[in-house]
Parts: sequence; structure tokens; C-alpha cells
Amino acid sequence: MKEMIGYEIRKLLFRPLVWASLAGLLLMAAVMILNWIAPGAFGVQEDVNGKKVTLEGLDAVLRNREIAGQYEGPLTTEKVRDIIEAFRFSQSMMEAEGMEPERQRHYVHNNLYDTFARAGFAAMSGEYNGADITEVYGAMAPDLTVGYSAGWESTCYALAYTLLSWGCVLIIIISPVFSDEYTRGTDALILTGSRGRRACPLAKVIASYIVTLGGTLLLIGLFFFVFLASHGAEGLNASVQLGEMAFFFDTPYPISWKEAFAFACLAWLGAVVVLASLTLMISAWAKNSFSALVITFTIYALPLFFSGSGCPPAVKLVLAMLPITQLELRNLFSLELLSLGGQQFKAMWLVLPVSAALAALGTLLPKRAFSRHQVM
Amino acid sequence: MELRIENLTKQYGATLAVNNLSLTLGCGVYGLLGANGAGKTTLMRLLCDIQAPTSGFVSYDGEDIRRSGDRYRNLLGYLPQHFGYYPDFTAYRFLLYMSAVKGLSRGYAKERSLELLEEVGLLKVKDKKIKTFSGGMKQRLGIAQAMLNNPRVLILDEPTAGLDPKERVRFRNLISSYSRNKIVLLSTHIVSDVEYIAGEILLMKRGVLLHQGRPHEIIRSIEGKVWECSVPSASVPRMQEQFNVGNLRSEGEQTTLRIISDQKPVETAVPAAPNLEDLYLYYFSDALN
Repeated sequence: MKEMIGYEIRKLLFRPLVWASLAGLLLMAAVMILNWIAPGAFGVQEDVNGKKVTLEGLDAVLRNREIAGQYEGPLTTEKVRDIIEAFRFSQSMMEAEGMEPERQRHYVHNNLYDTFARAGFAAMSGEYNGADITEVYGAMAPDLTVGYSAGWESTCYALAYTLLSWGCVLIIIISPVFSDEYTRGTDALILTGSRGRRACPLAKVIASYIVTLGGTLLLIGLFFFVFLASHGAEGLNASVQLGEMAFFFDTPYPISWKEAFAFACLAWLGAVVVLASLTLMISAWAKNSFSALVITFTIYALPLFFSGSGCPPAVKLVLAMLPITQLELRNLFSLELLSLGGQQFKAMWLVLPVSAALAALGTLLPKRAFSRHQVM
Repeated sequence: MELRIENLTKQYGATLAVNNLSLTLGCGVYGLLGANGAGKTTLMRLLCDIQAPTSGFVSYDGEDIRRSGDRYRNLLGYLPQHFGYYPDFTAYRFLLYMSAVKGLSRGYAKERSLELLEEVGLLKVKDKKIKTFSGGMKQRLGIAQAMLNNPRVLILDEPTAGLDPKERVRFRNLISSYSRNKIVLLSTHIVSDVEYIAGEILLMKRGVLLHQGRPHEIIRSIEGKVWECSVPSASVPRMQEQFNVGNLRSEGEQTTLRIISDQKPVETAVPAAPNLEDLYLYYFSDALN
């Protein structure tokens, strides 16, 4: 079996289109890392004795971490007011630098100031507007924690969109696994072999999952390594809602980056497993490799056209569980807590049974379809 | 060893590709002759259990091949009409992969693959990618993969397509030396291939088995129906329209025609000894036209 899996992995990967798409993905991953993680587009602007001091890239990261360190801990209205007042630019500095004081909120200050100013604690002119944390973050506000979020948030964002592209590459890699045998006419050879109807399709399925999970873990590992090297592991306990990019702003319950990143990894792995399962099934049922590719791409990309806003919670849940939306994370994190038997739990946990069920179907159905395939 | 076909029928929509065919194959080489669309390929796919019959069954040594499954496939070697391959695999890697599919151990697979590559004349190019091979080389590789597991039942659909005359002779010798105590069924359009190596010929037309027998017996069925005559070259087109003309040989103003006809075609025609090609033309001239 090991030998057959090896051959199947080779058949999956050693194709010009796969190499081209992997090269494209690596290029994209490099751009995402450079843009969002290290050195990233991080910037800090401070008013130091009436003069503007600008820091960029990793210097800005260090300064943001330093500022976050000062305010680390539970979110309070006082803390927010202090941050807004401490880092607001003076009118004289802004005028001297040719900036518009009445539009101060739009300028880059630092991670914490920008987070709170844009969340609704500052007027357009940059002054604290008197808002209470519960007005902005609702009843969960006292349970939120301030900390260094920028690295976590940008890493999650960069990974989510890189993994969306990885999904496309995966379709290119896996969709021919069965269908290409039909196109090439090698199905007749395989199906007349004594291991062609059981071991061979199983090897194809296992090879597909190995490539899927291996590639996903490699990407997650690469991004996480770069993140740790450039941002450190600070902010593990910070709340995801307090991110500058507001990537997870509408998460309706308190959740730390530590927990969120673990859930994100689970969601990404679950999403690629679901995608691989769907691709395997379509590949086994399709007439040829081209139709398998087109059908899988369509099913993968179609949910992008449904925003899900205004949909009943059940539909939202289903949409959030589709591979492309699950890879993007936001839909999954914005779902309300689910109730089951009087217990409340996070929708992310559903990823486990959904992926397990799809993985089982993605193993059994393609195997069955291929072994019963009628050679034409 | 016996492969029995019982009332086998395969229908695609309104078309009967194989029509209630019954046949028993013992050890030996069988040549399956038939024009395009005769149902040869469908019959071979049914024998390989890669298509399900509409009705009827095939049994090997008394057991339905659909029930014996892997046990039957262990004994089976198959070369499809359109041999599929992986262009980026080398010939050697391809055979090792096919060996794995056939359940051969890695050690034996290596040994057997090299042996077959030698036999089909591909040993020197074993590490070259298949996409660089000529049509004939690919076909030889296809023959090699079919023989990897030393099959008891070898089914070859148009095995000599794309082979040059020298390669065809080599193939015929390979099959002849291999066929002892085995069932070999090969279909071809090249009549001389089966003439030399087939112990029995199966004539198939529109899904039905027309004749089955040894070459000389089956040829005897058209004795008195093959004629040779010499006619002016100018009248050849008219003769071709009127009769089933086989070979013609131009000799200046005159042309010698070989005509397959139930009746004497022209007064000057003399009976000729029939051969397998005449037999093919006799049964399949309508399909050729």
C-alpha cells in the first residue's frame, strides 16, 4: 500500500499545471508574508514633543508590542480613554506636518489607538468621544482583554487568503485523481489489476488526503514560524475583537487569540478535508478530468456569491461550513453560540463532525464509484 | 482451464454490441476477426469485467468472473485498444506501477519488468519517459504490461496496431512462445497476424459470432468462392463496383483481379485457393464499403 500511495502522490504532483499553480501559490504566500507579517505594512506615528516620529515594519511591530504591554489586561473604559488621550496627535504637530487635524482618526497612530478610535471611541478629530466599552462591544465588553493583536490578526488574515488560493491549487491537484484515469484510458489497466478495485482507489484517496493535509500544515507552519520570529508570542490572551483590522470584530463572544488561532487551524484543516472529499467524489463520478475540474471549481467558488446576510441562522451555519467560507474564517467566527441539550458551544466545533463525515464519504464513495466504473 | 461465455448480451441504448453470444475458450490462441463496430472491443471488455453485461455471464473454470473478482483478475492480462499511459513515467516506472496494481511483490516486479522490457526491446530506453516513445514503442510497452503477472487469460485488443512489420513478427513470436497452457484472445484488423499464430479464429459481425474454427477449416467455408481473372485495366472500376474485389495486380493493359463471389464473376475467371484475407473480405466487405 505504501508503494501505491507513493505512486499516486507522484501522479498527483508531477504535472506541469500543478507545478505552475504551486509556483503561483508560493509567490502569493511570499507576497502575503512580506505584506502582512514580516516586515509587513505596519506603521506607527507618534507625536514626540510636537514632532512626528514615524516607525515602519519591524520597528513599528516592536513599538506596538511595547505599547500593548503597557495596557495589557482587562478592557476598561478608562484604559481606552487613556490610550486615546495618550496617543492623540497635538493640533500643532498636525498642522506643522501638513496633516488635517479634523480628520485625525484616519491617520495611523499605533495599533491600540487605531483599534479603539475606529471601533467608535474617538471623534473624527481624534478626541475621546466619551463612549463606554459596553456601547461599542456590548455586554461581553468587560470580558475582553487588551493585548498585542496586530501580529495574530494579520497572520490569520494572510493565512486565510493564502489558503483560499491553496484551495484552488488543491482542486487542480486532486480533481484528476480518478477522472484523469478515465481521460487517459488507464482505468482499463487499473481495473483489470487484482488490486485495482480496492487498494488502488484507497491509495488514491490516501494520497489525496496526504497532499491536502501536508500542504495545509506546511503553509500554516511557514506562516506561523515567520509570525513567531517577527512578532513573538505576545498577545496570546488578547481578545480577537480588539484587532485593528477588525477581522473578527463581530465575533459575538469573548475569545482569545490563543483559542482563536487553534480554532482557525482546526477550521482550515477541516475545510481542506471537506474540499478534498468533495473533489474526490466529483473526480470519481465525472466523465473526464476537465469536467471534474470545472465542476469542483464551480462548487468551491459559488458560495462567494452568497453573502449570507439576512439568511436564517441555519443557512448561515451551512454557508459557514462550506470550504471557501470556512477557509475565510470570518463567517465561522461571527456565528452565535449554538445550543445543544442546554449546553452552549462554539460553531467551530462543528467543523470536527462535518469534516469527519465528509472524509468518510470522500473515502468510501469515490472508492466505490471507481471500482464500479464502466470503461468506455 | 476454460473461459465460458453464456448468452452474453451487451446493449447500449438501442444498439446491441454483443448479441446473445455463447462460446467456450480453452487453452490456445484465438484470433477475433471483425470489422469496426462488430462488437470485438465490447466482448473483450466484458471478458475483462470492466463492463457489466446486459444479460448472460462469463465464467472461468466454472465460476462467474464477476463473483471471483480479484481471483480472476490475478489471472488476467489485458491490453486495451487505446493503450493509456502516464506520459511522465519512465517505461520501467510504469511497469513497476502496473505491477503494484497487479499485486506483484516489489522484488519480483523489478525482475519481471526488466525481463519483459528486454523481450519487447525496450530495455535500453527503460529510463526514458513514455511521452518520448514512438507509437510502436508505446504499443510494445502495453504488451509488456499485459504480461507482467504471467496471466492465464491474456486479452489483447488490436495489439499490433502501430507496429512495423518487424515489430509484428517479434510480437507474433512472443505470443506464440507465451501461449502454452494459456488462453490468449487477440483481435486485429491485420489478418496475417492471426493467420500465423491463432489456433482458432472467431469471426464476429454485428455482435454475433458468425464462425469459429481452425484457420484452415474456416477458410474451407469459402472454398469455390474465390476467383482470379485477368481483365482490361479500363474495366477495373466497373468490376470493383460490381464485385467484391480483393487484391488486384496491374500488368500493363491487363489487370489480374482476385474476386470473392458466390458465383463465377466472368467467363474467364478461374477458382483460386482461398486465404484468410479472402475470408475477411467475404464476410466484411459490406462493412468495409
